[in-house]
Amino acid sequence: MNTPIDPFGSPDRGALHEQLTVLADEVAPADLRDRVLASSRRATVRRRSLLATSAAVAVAAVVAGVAWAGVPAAHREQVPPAATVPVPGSGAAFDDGPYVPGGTRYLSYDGRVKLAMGGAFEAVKTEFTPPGAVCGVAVSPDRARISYVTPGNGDLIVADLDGSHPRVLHTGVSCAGGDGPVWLTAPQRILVRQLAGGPRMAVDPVSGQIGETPLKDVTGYLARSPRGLHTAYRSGNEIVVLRSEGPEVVHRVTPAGVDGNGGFSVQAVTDDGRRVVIGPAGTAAEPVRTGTRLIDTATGQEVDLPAALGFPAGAEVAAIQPANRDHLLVQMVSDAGCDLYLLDAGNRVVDHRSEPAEVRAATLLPPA
Amino acid sequence: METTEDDFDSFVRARTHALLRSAYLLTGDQQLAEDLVQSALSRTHQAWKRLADPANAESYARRTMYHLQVSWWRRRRVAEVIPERLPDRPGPDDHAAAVSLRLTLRDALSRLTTRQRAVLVLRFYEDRTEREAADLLGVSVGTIKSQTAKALARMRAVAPGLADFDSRNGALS
Repeated sequence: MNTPIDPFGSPDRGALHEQLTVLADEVAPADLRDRVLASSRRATVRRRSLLATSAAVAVAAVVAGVAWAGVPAAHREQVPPAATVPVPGSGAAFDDGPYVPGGTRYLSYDGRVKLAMGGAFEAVKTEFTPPGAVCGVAVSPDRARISYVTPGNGDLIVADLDGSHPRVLHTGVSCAGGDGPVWLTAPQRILVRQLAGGPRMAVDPVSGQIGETPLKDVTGYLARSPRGLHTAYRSGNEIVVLRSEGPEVVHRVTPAGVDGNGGFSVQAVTDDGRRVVIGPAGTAAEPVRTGTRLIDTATGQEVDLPAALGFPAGAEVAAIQPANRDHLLVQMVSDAGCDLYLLDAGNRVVDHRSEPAEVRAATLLPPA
Repeated sequence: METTEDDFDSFVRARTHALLRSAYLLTGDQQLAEDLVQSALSRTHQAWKRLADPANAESYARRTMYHLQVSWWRRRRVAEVIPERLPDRPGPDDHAAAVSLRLTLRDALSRLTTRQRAVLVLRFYEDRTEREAADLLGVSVGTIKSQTAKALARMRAVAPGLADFDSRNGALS
């Protein structure tokens, strides 16, 4: 085993510095002034637009009698004190928005939600610890709330992301197999089915008001894309992809390699509706939370994941979740640990990072 | 107001290339390096009036650049293709050896995580101390130490040719 060497301060350091300097010489000069000023102006316009939106939300909240605490954290404008020098970092606005906002979340076998922020050497934060045995733990699309179902009465609980301020939103909710609660977007609601059966319903996470949904007759697993542009589910041996929450069907395809025995479950869909992640069918007692096969919804063919994901040798796909802007997050595990890969819409690897060993056995949750 | 804009113009024209050099080592790509510096300078422009002293601008821009680069997938990157095989170790010809070494170094850097790469650039290109690198990246000194060790170990593992060559030149060994 090699002993790590830190050559800083030793005579060896100079040669590496020299080689890096030679490499840096390759970069061509560029005049970025105009680009910088244009980019800065766009950011200013966006910020003003955000402030205007926040003001409108505040007015609407007051009119509707909703406290600020009930407004999703993502909508709260963070304005630094004018007297302080701004510190760059995670709070900055980004040109195109992050692919994976706010770190990656994992669900451990005991229902705890863990948050990993920055790679293998960063501490993992336990964001939510369930109050006893619960099922159907899910994080809201805006990452401001968490929901779960208690056994027995089937109480649907919605709480702040850390589990504080829990309140019963609805009762008699099923958590069996693919019928567990699913967060919908734009506006945010929770799709539930009653223990007693019947159609699925959409519950407002703030008021608890129940509404109808075009998805009322969909049974089993159902997946929404990160921004809610598409919804996908299984019907017989077919994958059905709806625009938004339907009823318009944009894809209906039989995935290759499905023999009808055991079946499959639809676990995720990208915002462009072109790729769906499927997993095992699961059982009522053992719901499935993610899939490992990627299906092209135009052809039904399984998409080959990049060979680079097999590095290091022996790594296996543990989960695939959609990220923003039609990207995918692929969790690979091996004896060596846990790695995450970001794939673009063309299924090319565009980024990679190692995750802490602590989350190796946990299930990757949808990042958005 | 105009003076402020003029100051910013002067700053951009004077320091862009220095920032680009570090950005190039961080990204390995001209276009990505330009995008990264543009983003960092754009944020610096936004903060310009609030910076207590324009002399701090480069420090702010550089810090922003590193934060943007190591922040979790916030920037688009080109696909990194892991080659089947790295270039052969340099031969006896000096020019060929230099080119080969540069290619090998670039490939080895591309195998590092963004944080490892950032730590390496800070420590060995910008000559930052461990404390300075830790402050700039917002991590502990211990993290800088461990990441440096891991980065060097990984470079040795994925580019033994580099290590062999460097044993003669004393870079990594």
